[in-house]
Amino acid sequence: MNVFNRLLLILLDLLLLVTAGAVLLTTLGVTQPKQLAPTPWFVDRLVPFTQLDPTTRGWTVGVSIVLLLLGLLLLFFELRPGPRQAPRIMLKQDGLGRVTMARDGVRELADREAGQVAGVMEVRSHVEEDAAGLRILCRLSVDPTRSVPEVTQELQERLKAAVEHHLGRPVAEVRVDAQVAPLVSDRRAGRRAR
Amino acid sequence: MDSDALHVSEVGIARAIVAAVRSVPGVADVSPGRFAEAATYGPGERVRGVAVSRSAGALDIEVHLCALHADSLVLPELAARVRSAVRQSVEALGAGAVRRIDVAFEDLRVEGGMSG
Repeated sequence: MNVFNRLLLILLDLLLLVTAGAVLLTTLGVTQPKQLAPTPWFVDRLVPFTQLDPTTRGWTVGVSIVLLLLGLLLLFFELRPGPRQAPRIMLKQDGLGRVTMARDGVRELADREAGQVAGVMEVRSHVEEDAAGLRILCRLSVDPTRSVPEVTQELQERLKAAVEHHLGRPVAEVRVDAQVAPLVSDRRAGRRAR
Repeated sequence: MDSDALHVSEVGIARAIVAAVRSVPGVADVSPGRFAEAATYGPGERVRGVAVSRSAGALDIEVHLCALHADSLVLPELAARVRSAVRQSVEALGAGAVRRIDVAFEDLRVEGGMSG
Protein backbone atom coordinates (compact mmCIF):
# COMPACT_ATOMS: atom_id res chain seq x y z
CA MET A 1 0.00 0.00 0.00
CA ASN A 2 1.43 3.40 -0.89
CA VAL A 3 1.91 6.23 1.58
CA PHE A 4 -1.16 8.21 0.47
CA ASN A 5 -3.49 5.23 0.87
CA ARG A 6 -2.01 4.43 4.25
CA LEU A 7 -2.41 8.01 5.49
CA LEU A 8 -5.99 8.07 4.21
CA LEU A 9 -6.76 4.82 5.99
CA ILE A 10 -5.25 6.11 9.24
CA LEU A 11 -7.26 9.33 8.95
CA LEU A 12 -10.52 7.42 8.37
CA ASP A 13 -9.68 5.11 11.24
CA LEU A 14 -9.12 8.06 13.59
CA LEU A 15 -12.47 9.49 12.46
CA LEU A 16 -14.11 6.16 13.26
CA LEU A 17 -12.48 6.09 16.71
CA VAL A 18 -13.55 9.65 17.54
CA THR A 19 -17.12 9.07 16.33
CA ALA A 20 -17.54 5.75 18.11
CA GLY A 21 -16.01 7.22 21.28
CA ALA A 22 -18.27 10.28 21.19
CA VAL A 23 -21.39 8.14 20.65
CA LEU A 24 -20.37 5.77 23.44
CA LEU A 25 -19.67 8.56 25.95
CA THR A 26 -22.91 10.34 25.04
CA THR A 27 -25.01 7.17 25.21
CA LEU A 28 -23.58 6.25 28.59
CA GLY A 29 -24.22 9.78 29.85
CA VAL A 30 -20.58 10.32 30.75
CA THR A 31 -20.51 13.64 28.90
CA GLN A 32 -23.04 15.98 27.34
CA PRO A 33 -23.09 16.48 23.53
CA LYS A 34 -22.18 20.15 23.98
CA GLN A 35 -18.97 19.18 25.77
CA LEU A 36 -17.87 16.86 22.95
CA ALA A 37 -19.07 18.45 19.74
CA PRO A 38 -17.19 21.44 18.29
CA THR A 39 -20.18 22.86 16.35
CA PRO A 40 -23.98 22.86 16.69
CA TRP A 41 -24.21 20.52 13.70
CA PHE A 42 -22.32 17.83 15.61
CA VAL A 43 -24.38 18.53 18.77
CA ASP A 44 -27.53 17.87 16.78
CA ARG A 45 -26.09 14.51 15.61
CA LEU A 46 -25.25 13.44 19.19
CA VAL A 47 -28.37 14.61 21.03
CA PRO A 48 -30.54 11.65 19.83
CA PHE A 49 -28.16 9.28 21.67
CA THR A 50 -29.17 10.86 24.98
CA GLN A 51 -32.80 9.87 24.46
CA LEU A 52 -32.57 6.17 23.58
CA ASP A 53 -34.80 3.46 25.03
CA PRO A 54 -32.96 0.81 27.09
CA THR A 55 -32.84 -1.80 24.28
CA THR A 56 -31.52 0.60 21.65
CA ARG A 57 -29.11 2.02 24.22
CA GLY A 58 -27.70 -1.45 24.88
CA TRP A 59 -27.23 -2.08 21.17
CA THR A 60 -25.65 1.34 20.66
CA VAL A 61 -23.15 0.78 23.47
CA GLY A 62 -22.30 -2.70 22.15
CA VAL A 63 -21.82 -1.57 18.55
CA SER A 64 -19.75 1.46 19.67
CA ILE A 65 -17.45 -0.75 21.74
CA VAL A 66 -17.00 -3.18 18.83
CA LEU A 67 -16.22 -0.30 16.45
CA LEU A 68 -13.76 1.18 18.95
CA LEU A 69 -11.96 -2.15 19.27
CA LEU A 70 -11.88 -2.65 15.50
CA GLY A 71 -10.58 0.89 15.04
CA LEU A 72 -7.84 0.38 17.60
CA LEU A 73 -6.88 -2.93 15.99
CA LEU A 74 -6.70 -1.33 12.55
CA LEU A 75 -4.63 1.55 13.92
CA PHE A 76 -2.23 -0.94 15.53
CA PHE A 77 -1.71 -2.82 12.27
CA GLU A 78 -1.26 0.38 10.29
CA LEU A 79 1.23 1.96 12.68
CA ARG A 80 3.35 -1.03 13.64
CA PRO A 81 6.81 -1.11 12.06
CA GLY A 82 7.31 -3.21 8.93
CA PRO A 83 9.24 -6.46 8.78
CA ARG A 84 12.79 -6.19 10.06
CA GLN A 85 15.53 -6.13 7.46
CA ALA A 86 18.11 -8.87 7.74
CA PRO A 87 21.39 -7.59 9.20
CA ARG A 88 23.76 -6.93 6.32
CA ILE A 89 27.48 -6.59 5.79
CA MET A 90 28.52 -3.68 3.57
CA LEU A 91 30.83 -4.83 0.77
CA LYS A 92 31.00 -1.61 -1.21
CA GLN A 93 29.39 1.80 -1.39
CA ASP A 94 29.80 4.17 -4.28
CA GLY A 95 27.89 6.79 -6.24
CA LEU A 96 25.60 4.16 -7.75
CA GLY A 97 24.51 2.66 -4.44
CA ARG A 98 25.43 -0.10 -2.04
CA VAL A 99 26.58 -3.67 -2.41
CA THR A 100 25.76 -5.72 0.66
CA MET A 101 25.52 -9.30 1.79
CA ALA A 102 23.19 -10.74 4.40
CA ARG A 103 25.13 -11.50 7.57
CA ASP A 104 23.59 -14.96 7.62
CA GLY A 105 24.97 -15.49 4.12
CA VAL A 106 28.48 -14.64 5.35
CA ARG A 107 27.98 -16.95 8.30
CA GLU A 108 26.94 -19.77 5.98
CA LEU A 109 30.00 -19.11 3.81
CA ALA A 110 32.21 -19.32 6.91
CA ASP A 111 30.50 -22.56 7.97
CA ARG A 112 30.99 -24.04 4.51
CA GLU A 113 34.67 -23.08 4.32
CA ALA A 114 35.32 -24.33 7.85
CA GLY A 115 33.63 -27.61 6.96
CA GLN A 116 36.23 -28.14 4.22
CA VAL A 117 39.08 -28.29 6.74
CA ALA A 118 40.15 -31.86 7.49
CA GLY A 119 39.31 -32.84 11.06
CA VAL A 120 36.39 -30.41 11.47
CA MET A 121 33.29 -32.44 12.27
CA GLU A 122 30.81 -29.70 13.08
CA VAL A 123 30.95 -25.92 12.99
CA ARG A 124 28.83 -22.93 13.96
CA SER A 125 30.01 -19.47 13.02
CA HIS A 126 29.06 -15.99 14.06
CA VAL A 127 30.06 -12.87 12.12
CA GLU A 128 30.43 -9.32 13.42
CA GLU A 129 31.58 -6.17 11.68
CA ASP A 130 33.46 -3.18 13.03
CA ALA A 131 35.78 -0.46 11.77
CA ALA A 132 38.73 -2.88 11.56
CA GLY A 133 36.81 -5.34 9.38
CA LEU A 134 34.97 -8.58 9.91
CA ARG A 135 35.31 -10.64 13.05
CA ILE A 136 34.39 -14.31 12.79
CA LEU A 137 33.82 -16.55 15.76
CA CYS A 138 33.80 -20.28 14.98
CA ARG A 139 32.70 -22.92 17.42
CA LEU A 140 33.75 -26.30 16.16
CA SER A 141 33.86 -29.91 17.03
CA VAL A 142 37.17 -31.53 16.05
CA ASP A 143 37.94 -35.15 15.22
CA PRO A 144 39.61 -36.51 18.40
CA THR A 145 42.33 -38.19 16.33
CA ARG A 146 43.48 -34.81 14.97
CA SER A 147 45.61 -32.12 16.55
CA VAL A 148 43.32 -29.34 17.68
CA PRO A 149 45.97 -26.56 17.34
CA GLU A 150 46.77 -27.69 13.78
CA VAL A 151 43.12 -27.86 12.78
CA THR A 152 42.33 -24.46 14.26
CA GLN A 153 45.35 -22.83 12.63
CA GLU A 154 44.44 -24.23 9.22
CA LEU A 155 40.85 -23.14 9.72
CA GLN A 156 41.83 -19.60 10.68
CA GLU A 157 44.05 -19.24 7.61
CA ARG A 158 41.48 -20.76 5.26
CA LEU A 159 38.58 -18.73 6.61
CA LYS A 160 40.44 -15.44 6.48
CA ALA A 161 41.66 -16.06 2.92
CA ALA A 162 38.29 -17.27 1.63
CA VAL A 163 36.17 -14.53 3.17
CA GLU A 164 38.57 -11.77 2.11
CA HIS A 165 38.69 -13.18 -1.42
CA HIS A 166 34.93 -13.64 -1.86
CA LEU A 167 33.73 -10.51 -0.05
CA GLY A 168 36.61 -8.12 -0.72
CA ARG A 169 36.54 -7.03 2.92
CA PRO A 170 39.40 -7.42 5.43
CA VAL A 171 38.96 -10.01 8.15
CA ALA A 172 40.28 -8.53 11.38
CA GLU A 173 39.98 -11.67 13.48
CA VAL A 174 39.03 -15.32 13.25
CA ARG A 175 38.43 -16.63 16.74
CA VAL A 176 38.08 -20.37 17.17
CA ASP A 177 36.38 -22.14 20.02
CA ALA A 178 37.25 -25.81 19.51
CA GLN A 179 36.25 -28.95 21.33
CA VAL A 180 36.44 -32.66 20.66
CA ALA A 181 32.91 -33.35 21.88
CA PRO A 182 29.88 -32.66 19.65
CA LEU A 183 28.68 -29.05 19.81
CA VAL A 184 26.04 -28.31 22.40
CA SER A 185 24.57 -25.04 23.56
CA ASP A 186 26.58 -25.18 26.82
CA ARG A 187 29.69 -23.11 26.04
CA ARG A 188 31.52 -24.44 29.13
CA ALA A 189 32.07 -27.71 27.24
CA GLY A 190 34.28 -25.91 24.70
CA ARG A 191 38.03 -25.36 24.61
CA ARG A 192 39.32 -22.17 23.11
CA ALA A 193 42.39 -22.07 20.90
CA ARG A 194 43.79 -18.88 19.37
CA MET B 1 13.47 13.00 -19.12
CA ASP B 2 12.50 10.90 -22.14
CA SER B 3 8.72 11.07 -22.48
CA ASP B 4 8.65 7.38 -23.55
CA ALA B 5 9.93 6.49 -20.08
CA LEU B 6 6.50 7.24 -18.66
CA HIS B 7 4.96 4.35 -20.61
CA VAL B 8 7.09 1.65 -18.98
CA SER B 9 5.67 0.51 -15.68
CA GLU B 10 7.84 -0.34 -12.68
CA VAL B 11 6.64 -3.94 -12.91
CA GLY B 12 7.67 -4.13 -16.57
CA ILE B 13 11.09 -2.76 -15.68
CA ALA B 14 11.41 -5.23 -12.82
CA ARG B 15 10.56 -8.16 -15.11
CA ALA B 16 13.24 -7.10 -17.57
CA ILE B 17 15.77 -6.68 -14.77
CA VAL B 18 15.04 -10.15 -13.37
CA ALA B 19 15.68 -11.68 -16.80
CA ALA B 20 18.88 -9.67 -17.21
CA VAL B 21 20.20 -10.54 -13.76
CA ARG B 22 19.49 -14.25 -14.22
CA SER B 23 21.60 -14.23 -17.38
CA VAL B 24 24.70 -12.91 -15.60
CA PRO B 25 27.30 -15.68 -15.10
CA GLY B 26 27.77 -16.32 -11.40
CA VAL B 27 24.18 -15.47 -10.47
CA ALA B 28 22.14 -18.44 -9.21
CA ASP B 29 18.84 -16.57 -9.09
CA VAL B 30 17.13 -13.50 -7.76
CA SER B 31 15.98 -13.82 -4.17
CA PRO B 32 13.01 -12.28 -2.40
CA GLY B 33 15.13 -11.55 0.68
CA ARG B 34 15.48 -13.26 4.03
CA PHE B 35 12.98 -11.36 6.19
CA ALA B 36 11.34 -8.38 4.54
CA GLU B 37 10.34 -9.25 0.99
CA ALA B 38 11.96 -7.25 -1.79
CA ALA B 39 9.50 -6.97 -4.67
CA THR B 40 7.89 -4.66 -7.18
CA TYR B 41 4.12 -4.52 -7.06
CA GLY B 42 1.74 -3.80 -9.90
CA PRO B 43 -1.95 -4.37 -10.58
CA GLY B 44 -2.46 -8.06 -9.83
CA GLU B 45 1.23 -8.79 -10.19
CA ARG B 46 4.31 -9.02 -8.02
CA VAL B 47 7.91 -9.37 -9.19
CA ARG B 48 9.98 -10.80 -6.36
CA GLY B 49 13.66 -10.08 -5.85
CA VAL B 50 13.76 -6.68 -7.54
CA ALA B 51 12.36 -3.47 -6.10
CA VAL B 52 11.94 -0.65 -8.61
CA SER B 53 10.77 2.80 -7.61
CA ARG B 54 10.73 6.06 -9.49
CA SER B 55 11.14 9.49 -8.00
CA ALA B 56 11.83 12.80 -9.71
CA GLY B 57 11.98 10.96 -13.03
CA ALA B 58 14.87 8.70 -12.06
CA LEU B 59 14.83 5.02 -11.14
CA ASP B 60 16.01 3.54 -7.86
CA ILE B 61 16.59 -0.19 -8.20
CA GLU B 62 17.30 -2.78 -5.55
CA VAL B 63 18.32 -6.27 -6.65
CA HIS B 64 18.37 -9.18 -4.21
CA LEU B 65 20.10 -12.32 -5.43
CA CYS B 66 21.87 -15.57 -4.65
CA ALA B 67 25.32 -16.06 -6.14
CA LEU B 68 26.83 -19.32 -7.25
CA HIS B 69 29.61 -20.36 -4.92
CA ALA B 70 32.86 -20.94 -6.79
CA ASP B 71 36.52 -20.45 -5.94
CA SER B 72 36.72 -17.64 -8.47
CA LEU B 73 33.72 -15.79 -7.03
CA VAL B 74 34.42 -12.19 -5.99
CA LEU B 75 31.17 -10.59 -4.93
CA PRO B 76 32.05 -6.91 -5.65
CA GLU B 77 33.05 -7.92 -9.19
CA LEU B 78 29.84 -9.89 -9.64
CA ALA B 79 27.90 -6.89 -8.34
CA ALA B 80 29.55 -4.72 -11.01
CA ARG B 81 28.45 -7.18 -13.73
CA VAL B 82 24.92 -7.26 -12.29
CA ARG B 83 24.75 -3.46 -12.26
CA SER B 84 25.94 -3.35 -15.84
CA ALA B 85 23.28 -5.87 -16.90
CA VAL B 86 20.58 -3.93 -15.03
CA ARG B 87 21.60 -0.65 -16.63
CA GLN B 88 21.60 -2.21 -20.11
CA SER B 89 18.16 -3.75 -19.64
CA VAL B 90 16.69 -0.44 -18.45
CA GLU B 91 18.29 1.42 -21.35
CA ALA B 92 16.95 -1.18 -23.80
CA LEU B 93 13.45 -0.53 -22.48
CA GLY B 94 13.91 3.23 -22.71
CA ALA B 95 12.61 3.39 -19.18
CA GLY B 96 14.51 6.50 -18.16
CA ALA B 97 17.57 7.42 -16.14
CA VAL B 98 18.90 5.15 -13.40
CA ARG B 99 19.94 6.94 -10.24
CA ARG B 100 20.74 4.06 -7.94
CA ILE B 101 21.33 0.30 -8.18
CA ASP B 102 21.73 -1.44 -4.83
CA VAL B 103 22.86 -5.05 -5.01
CA ALA B 104 22.07 -7.27 -2.04
CA PHE B 105 23.48 -10.79 -1.91
CA GLU B 106 21.36 -13.05 0.24
CA ASP B 107 23.46 -16.20 0.16
CA LEU B 108 25.79 -18.32 -1.91
CA ARG B 109 24.45 -21.41 -3.61
CA VAL B 110 26.60 -24.44 -4.30
CA GLU B 111 26.02 -25.64 -7.85
CA GLY B 112 24.03 -28.86 -7.81
CA GLY B 113 23.32 -28.46 -4.09
CA MET B 114 21.03 -26.66 -1.72
CA SER B 115 21.38 -22.96 -0.98
CA GLY B 116 23.15 -21.78 2.13
